[in-house]
Amino acid sequence: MSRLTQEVALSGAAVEWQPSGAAVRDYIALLKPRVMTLVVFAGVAGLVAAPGELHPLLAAVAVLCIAVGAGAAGAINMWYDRDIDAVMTRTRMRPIPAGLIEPAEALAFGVVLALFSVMLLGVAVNWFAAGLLAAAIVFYVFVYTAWLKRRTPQNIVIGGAAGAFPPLIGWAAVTGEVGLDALLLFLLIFLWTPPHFWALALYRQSDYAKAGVPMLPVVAGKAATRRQILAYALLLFPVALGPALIGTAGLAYGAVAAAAGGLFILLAWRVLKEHDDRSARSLFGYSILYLFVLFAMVIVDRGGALIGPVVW
Amino acid sequence: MVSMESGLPELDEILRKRKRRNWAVAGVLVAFVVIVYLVSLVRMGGG
Repeated sequence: MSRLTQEVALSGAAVEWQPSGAAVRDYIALLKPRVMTLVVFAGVAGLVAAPGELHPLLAAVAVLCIAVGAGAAGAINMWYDRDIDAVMTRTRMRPIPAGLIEPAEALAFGVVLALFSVMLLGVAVNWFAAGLLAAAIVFYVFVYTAWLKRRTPQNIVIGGAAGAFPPLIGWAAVTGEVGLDALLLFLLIFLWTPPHFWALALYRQSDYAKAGVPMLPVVAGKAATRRQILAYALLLFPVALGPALIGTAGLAYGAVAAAAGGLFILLAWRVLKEHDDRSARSLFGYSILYLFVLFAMVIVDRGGALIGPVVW
Repeated sequence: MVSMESGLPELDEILRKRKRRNWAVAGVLVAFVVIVYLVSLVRMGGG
């Protein structure tokens, strides 16, 4: 019993009472705000790239729902992974292992936000987009977090599909369907995810090993991981050029995608040859910038689509 | 108005955090109502 609980008990409370000391920022941390930023950016790119128009308010609601849905999935992920988060240096200060938020409270928070985001997207925009958001949340929570993450080194290869949903949802919010262009944006994130996370796992290998998470460097070794990173970087290059080739984005996007993709391959090559944490850290940092830049170029190239005539 | 001060520094901090949480929840609920209201206007207007 803590000093506070004892004092409350001594002050006459009939039931032992352990009040929550969580602050608003702890709940925000549960939503993985840094991941949310990238998710929002990808969702906006899908919205902007899609043919057609969506009322600006409904577009803003769609983006809000994508952000909240992603945050909800993150909160449920933190609830499920609280045991391994407590072991890993990178995650041990998260709100649940740090003792700031009760696990059940985090789960309830995540579930309520997930339901809220899907329902609001369905009512405000369309139910196809809402269905995709629900699928993304379910995939992230059940397929990636609960099933794959602790069982296979292919966890983030297959699980990466969950993170690739936002451009599809943005696209579906405008068109009510999913076309080849949207699938290409999905594939872009899907192929980007393994080299991004494996670069992180290369210099956090001991952390993952300690927690028993079978990331590729833990299971197959660093050399095999470095080869896989380069292979995915090479695969990513033509896929990233795809939106320019099929007309989803223009020449400016194509030029930037070629240059950025070339640099991605160069950094992946350095990871293969230099065998140190520094090159892996560089690739990890660059991979985030890479995705931001590519989606920014999609938005810039097709910027006019979102700002359609306002019909009140 | 009843003071929130309990005389226990740890409890006072928790009560302050709870008060801020309550305001945040209230803000989120008000924002939700406003969003639903505006969405209804847009949808009913055919936008």
